[in-house]
Amino acid sequence: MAKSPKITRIETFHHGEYPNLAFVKIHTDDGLFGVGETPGSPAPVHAFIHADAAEYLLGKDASQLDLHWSNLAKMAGGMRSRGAEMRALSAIDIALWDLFGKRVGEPVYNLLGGLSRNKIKVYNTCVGYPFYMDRTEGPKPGSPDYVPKGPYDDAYASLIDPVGLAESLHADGFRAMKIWPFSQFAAKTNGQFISLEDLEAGTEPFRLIHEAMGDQMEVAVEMTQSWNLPSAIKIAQAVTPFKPLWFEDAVQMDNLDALAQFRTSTNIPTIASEGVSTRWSFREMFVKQATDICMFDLGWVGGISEAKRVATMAESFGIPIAPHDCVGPIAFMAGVHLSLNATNTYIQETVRSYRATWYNDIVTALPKVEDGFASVSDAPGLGLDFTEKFLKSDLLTVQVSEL
Amino acid sequence: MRITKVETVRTSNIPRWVWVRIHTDSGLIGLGESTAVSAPTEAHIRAELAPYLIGKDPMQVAELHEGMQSRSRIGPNGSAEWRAISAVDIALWDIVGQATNAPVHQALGGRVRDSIPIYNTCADWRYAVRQGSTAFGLSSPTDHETPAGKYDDLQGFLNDAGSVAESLLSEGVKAMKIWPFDQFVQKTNGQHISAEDVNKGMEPFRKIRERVGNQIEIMAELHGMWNIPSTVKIVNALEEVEPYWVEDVTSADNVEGLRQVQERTHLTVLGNETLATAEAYRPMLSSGAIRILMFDTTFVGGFTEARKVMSLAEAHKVPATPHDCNGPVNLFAGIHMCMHAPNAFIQETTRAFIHEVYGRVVDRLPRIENGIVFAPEDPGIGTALREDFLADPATVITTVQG
Repeated sequence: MAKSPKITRIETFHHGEYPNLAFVKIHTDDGLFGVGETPGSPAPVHAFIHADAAEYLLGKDASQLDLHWSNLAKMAGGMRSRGAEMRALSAIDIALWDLFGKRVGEPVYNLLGGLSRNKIKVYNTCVGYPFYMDRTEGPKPGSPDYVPKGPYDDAYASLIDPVGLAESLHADGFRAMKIWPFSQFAAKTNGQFISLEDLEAGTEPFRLIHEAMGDQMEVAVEMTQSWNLPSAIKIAQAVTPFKPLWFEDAVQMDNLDALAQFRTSTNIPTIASEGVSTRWSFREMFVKQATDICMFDLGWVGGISEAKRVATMAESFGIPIAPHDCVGPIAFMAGVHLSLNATNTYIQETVRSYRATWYNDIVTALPKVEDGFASVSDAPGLGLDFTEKFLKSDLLTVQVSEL
Repeated sequence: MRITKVETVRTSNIPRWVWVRIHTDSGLIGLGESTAVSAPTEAHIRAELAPYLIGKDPMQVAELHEGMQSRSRIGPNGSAEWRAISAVDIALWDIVGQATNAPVHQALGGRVRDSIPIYNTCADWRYAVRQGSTAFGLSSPTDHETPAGKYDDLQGFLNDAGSVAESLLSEGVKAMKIWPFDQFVQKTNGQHISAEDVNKGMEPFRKIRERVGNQIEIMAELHGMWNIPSTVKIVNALEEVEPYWVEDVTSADNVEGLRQVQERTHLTVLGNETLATAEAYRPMLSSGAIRILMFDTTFVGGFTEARKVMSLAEAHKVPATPHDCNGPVNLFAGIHMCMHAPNAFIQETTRAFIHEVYGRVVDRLPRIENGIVFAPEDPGIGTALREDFLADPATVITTVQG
């Protein structure tokens, strides 16, 4: 009978430089710990972990991942919740997998069933350095007053110099990239209507890149759930001549029938959605044949456990997965472990501007990205920890619940 | 008018409850509420919603509802964020009502009726304090050290259901809700129910019919905790006593499962107060998975979303009924919706909560006589937190202001 490691201590970290991330560290009585992370507003996540989840988890056997998932999911909102509770559960689940791997001395990908490949093709999401973290007002990329923040200010470049950006990515080994030039126009009408003028302006980067690079660069169209169905179809039709990689989050995920209608309107693949949580929601999406490719974020979908379950279910529908990145380093690492394991991985997302900068300030190791492919080491668990710099920062607030 | 200050109010006596008070430069204060897991709800109001709301015009509820959603990064389905938005939305409508000297049902577009029948949910007041996810008061009746008080309807329906029915009829209440099958859930986490337990669970229903015949309607609550074969077994047994409805026959996460249960019984399947937004209810309605819709104003997204949900149900010719068994503001909210929406037909109440808890928290209670609740007449939601409750040492008020 295997030893049952008891959960003794749960820490959460809030760091002033990363106001949109919640971090968790779970300790067991065998001296090990695991780390997890989730994006979005951290205040309610931390509140749920310390006021509610900790009371349940402390003293429990850390190896009962499925049972803890199921019980925590029932605590609020139900199994399809996409709110603070599901984000907290996702972070906890990632930490429990990290712990599991460290306990048995194996990388997480082996615990999921081993490598289906040694490296996975990646595409670059063209955000700039501050896109996600910066919640201040002020000029955004695209406005005349905006000043680029460094060589990888890729969201800015996607609007100002799309061909230069594509060439720079190509030189870094990428053959696929993602941009969202239409989203800048959505606020005018709250996504209810796109004018022909804006349609043409938004299509321009796709035309320019396709004409300059041809089959050397595939460009994904991110529509950020910003548009109603007729506007989304208009956008898809406009970009189709330039052979995009896919159309992402074409409509809001509240209405999967509308997404299914979008999908049948185009012969370019539809992908959805990082904004969807849990197997129950994805099951509805798959049954309705609303997507060609399944995207999820491990920090939101319900952790590594739920991502693996969704990936397997997707496979039974003939649907490949493409794990999301663009939120934080631990969810990215967990995503690559799953990408390497799952038999049905299409491609993995990565963000070069984040990997080059703040991801490294938070954790000690990241997936290796080389020649347009990502791989991970065989270190136990997720193979990373918080950096000394992160843990010793004056901007760090730690909250603890313990036995 | 501008929002100047947002307060969250909680009490250590009932940690499941949270209130929000929205203060304005006109002096008006709006009151909202939510329940369930309230620490993250309160955190979301303080960290995300309050900074957005301060300085805004509280009368523009539609705009603020959209704005709060975009600050919350969520889709449909219940969550701390939706509970937070619900509480704030209710408080905003309270302000709109007070500012226009109209009860909320009037501000929503007026009333279709001025009273509606109630039914009683057979909890005791301690049920408000802590509901476990798989317990609903029945896992260990001894873990509450405080006495159950005068209305111990929970132990009442388990041990002597006929007497509870008689007591309700003597007050003029002609419908009651019970959940005796919950006591067997934990054995298998809802994966299997034995014939013996089905039979034991039927006892309270049979005792009611033996004592008072068909004078009282019985709602059977299953709390969404059983898988489909188990719930079908229970529903088959329930046909013998003709319950008014069978509530939450399986998890709301599984719309096809709900539909399968509904297709296999002549009884009315009702669901499900845990959802947020009209979008979340749409698949349930369009597939015929439920024949009555239940919502909770403090979960669904406040009045703004409750109104959409009731209208969507109406468009499907489905009656809708507000959930109570939460807090006092939620009960008022439900009553306002019942006065306003044509497809309302009954309002849930919990007499143990009304008589033993609500009165200690709010300064006015709804008028209930002979099993009928009447339209609140005061402007706004029609109730406010009591001064002595706000001053109580167990009450914690947290303020965010500009």
